[in-house]
Amino acid sequence: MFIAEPKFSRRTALGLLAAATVNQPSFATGVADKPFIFILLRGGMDGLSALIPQDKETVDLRQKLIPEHSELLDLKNGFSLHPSFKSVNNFYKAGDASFIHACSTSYRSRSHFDAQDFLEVLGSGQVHDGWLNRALKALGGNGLALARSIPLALQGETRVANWSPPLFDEVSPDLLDRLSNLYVNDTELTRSLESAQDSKVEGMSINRRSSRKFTLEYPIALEALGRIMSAKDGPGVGMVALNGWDTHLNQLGQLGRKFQQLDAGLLALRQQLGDKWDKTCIVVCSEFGRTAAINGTRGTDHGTGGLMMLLGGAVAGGRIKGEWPGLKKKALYEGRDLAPANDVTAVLKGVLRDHLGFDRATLDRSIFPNSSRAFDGLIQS
Amino acid sequence: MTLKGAIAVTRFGLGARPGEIKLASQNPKKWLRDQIYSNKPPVFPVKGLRTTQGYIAEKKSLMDARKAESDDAVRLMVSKPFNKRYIASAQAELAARFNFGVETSLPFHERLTRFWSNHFSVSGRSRDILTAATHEREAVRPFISGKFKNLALNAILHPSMVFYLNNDKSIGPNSIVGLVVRHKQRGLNENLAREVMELHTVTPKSGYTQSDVTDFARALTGWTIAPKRHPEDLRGMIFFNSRRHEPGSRKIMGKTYLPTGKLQAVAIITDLCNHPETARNISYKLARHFTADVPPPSLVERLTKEFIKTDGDLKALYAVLIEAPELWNAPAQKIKTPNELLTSAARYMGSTKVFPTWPRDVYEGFGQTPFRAPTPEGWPDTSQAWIGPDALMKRIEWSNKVAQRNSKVDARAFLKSALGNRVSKETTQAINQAESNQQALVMMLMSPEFQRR
Repeated sequence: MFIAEPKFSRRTALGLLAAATVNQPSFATGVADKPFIFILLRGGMDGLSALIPQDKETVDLRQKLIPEHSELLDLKNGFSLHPSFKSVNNFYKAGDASFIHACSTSYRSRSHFDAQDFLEVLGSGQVHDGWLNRALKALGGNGLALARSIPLALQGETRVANWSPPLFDEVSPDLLDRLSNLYVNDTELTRSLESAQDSKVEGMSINRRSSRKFTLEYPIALEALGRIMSAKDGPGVGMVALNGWDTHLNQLGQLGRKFQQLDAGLLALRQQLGDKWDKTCIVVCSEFGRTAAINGTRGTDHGTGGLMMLLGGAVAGGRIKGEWPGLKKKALYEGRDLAPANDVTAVLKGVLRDHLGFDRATLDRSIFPNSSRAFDGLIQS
Repeated sequence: MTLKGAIAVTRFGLGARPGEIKLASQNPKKWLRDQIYSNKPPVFPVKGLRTTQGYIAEKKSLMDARKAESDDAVRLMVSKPFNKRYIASAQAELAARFNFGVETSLPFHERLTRFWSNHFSVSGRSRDILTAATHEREAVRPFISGKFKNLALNAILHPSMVFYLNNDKSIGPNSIVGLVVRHKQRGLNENLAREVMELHTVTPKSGYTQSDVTDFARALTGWTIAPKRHPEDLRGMIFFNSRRHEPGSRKIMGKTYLPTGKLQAVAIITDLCNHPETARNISYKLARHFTADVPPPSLVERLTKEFIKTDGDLKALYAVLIEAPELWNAPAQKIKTPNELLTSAARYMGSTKVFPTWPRDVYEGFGQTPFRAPTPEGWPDTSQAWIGPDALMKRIEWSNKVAQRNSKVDARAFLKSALGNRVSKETTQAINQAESNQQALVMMLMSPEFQRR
């Protein structure tokens, strides 16, 4: 984690973040009141398994990837949610969720790393930092990454905090007190230790046993993110990247479990955000979708059009938005992928404009250079 | 044991092996000079490791084998033995590098090697971590005591760097190949040219423009990796393909370079290395590495002058460092990077003791897996980047675990051997007051003077 300011007041509610906030009281834009969360699913999440079209083409292309018909969560508009998305279904029914199928950036080459880099930068020739960092810079707000190191989307000029679960067992308070005495003449170490301890007071520790190999399990990561963001002086913008969506093999079972974890995480996040949920917008997306047809190993391969989910009380929800190109042979991109019918950048642009109040000029010039229109009507007016 | 002996070993070196401070204390400056002027450069053990060519050939075989199969299940099957070998190679590369740092009796030389490896950073995700490792071994390690331009030419025009920064994909639009493949939208790739100017040599302070970068990129076209059609001993080596080279003269920062084919880029790189801003860039980075995040301007100035005077003679710069009072007086300042911390602990305790779990997990937990730096800029070389609250907690948890696993290692002996006269009153006190040797070990590992150098 980086600290923006040398000054430090020990007993702030959340030292970890306060350290980054201390000299930036100017939330003039009201970011803190309107949380924005970006959840990146790395590996290429199969959107067609999350939001399943109820048509003949889908059955023909990938019958073995579709869960039991009786368990599907029918949205009564030609699509069903995967049975694991029970909470997301409740959000949708409450008008707190919307979905956009067939989303893509202008990147087309199906390489995970390049596609992720592209999605996290969304820049132009001279712009190589992360778009979320550029947005934070324009807002003057605070950002948090639930990660050991800052993901590319949050890398750039604006300093951003990070937090991750313990590497090994947690240490005793006595040991920390002793270290604090040992650091009496070392202001830098003292400041870091105090920040770490203060943030611990807020109950951000994670039970080591529940997280294997310090991988952030989805529910834990999302719960922690919600807890930190809902604290007094907490950051207005958060990001977490969840790995493991590259389902070339035995996809049905794998995604059943993954979606369940993601769903549980989103519910935990909603609970942690409490009242702030009503003013929150969460964007969930992946670097690309997957092939429309099942492959030879009961999975799918890297594709193009993917699914974006918008969640939170601020979302104009209860609907599926954007174009739906369908899965007819002629409509598939290069004969294999759900076609890129909706622009990821346009969606993000619409969200930043209508949720965080960015003006058109800032969006066009500083945040998404080279982008075209913004997607309208995503956020409740 | 003297304070200067301790500083030589802990600041210039990689942390003390048992008895090392005593040895260096006899004549600290000579102990350092001998590492640089010795006619016997350290030998890096390559048993079980392969060359860049070897790793490139292996990757090519994997790609060919996968391409030959259309069925996904079969493709997965043919990849399996390759993946096994890759994992074994990656572990071997990481272990060889770590153990060399732990065991070397020329630690100042090794610290400099790692400094330069980070300056000319090559990084790889998954399989390409292997050719990043060979870059350090082949293109940096042998050249750190000659002229800067010689190091730069070797580090830049190496298959690993050319691949990492996409020059193997760059084709002169008016070259023989470029005129044929134009419709495929392949052309100039500026990545290598930009990073050489921005990071390796003159930096934006020199005032170069976009057209300088583009023209340098044109000069670099053709520098690629020898493909399969070449005889086996050339395959995978650096190679100039004149059929991809953009014809014509170049103009860079006001100077014209005639169409000399492969020599055009060499001439430009050489001139970039001779630029005063390169001298300043290198001097600033060297001074920062050995002193503090904001290095003393006087030291930067002396290094810059020496660089210009000696035509970038790296040995002469190291001599300035050895003689610099700024490096001998100041208390420990720079926070060790995670790898420096692990290495310094292992130089006393032994390599296996500092990894309570798989090395790769420890590296990743600390956020510094060797050969996987996040950008061409390499790993940050500032304290601030490594010791935020989250990072500090990780170090405490690690120290605690290492102490649990090695509770028989005598903390007082460790303290004396590792820090000599650099130990502070507070640390001695904290260790004396610890309730167990295990706790004392944590205090030792986490003490400001062991966390810093």
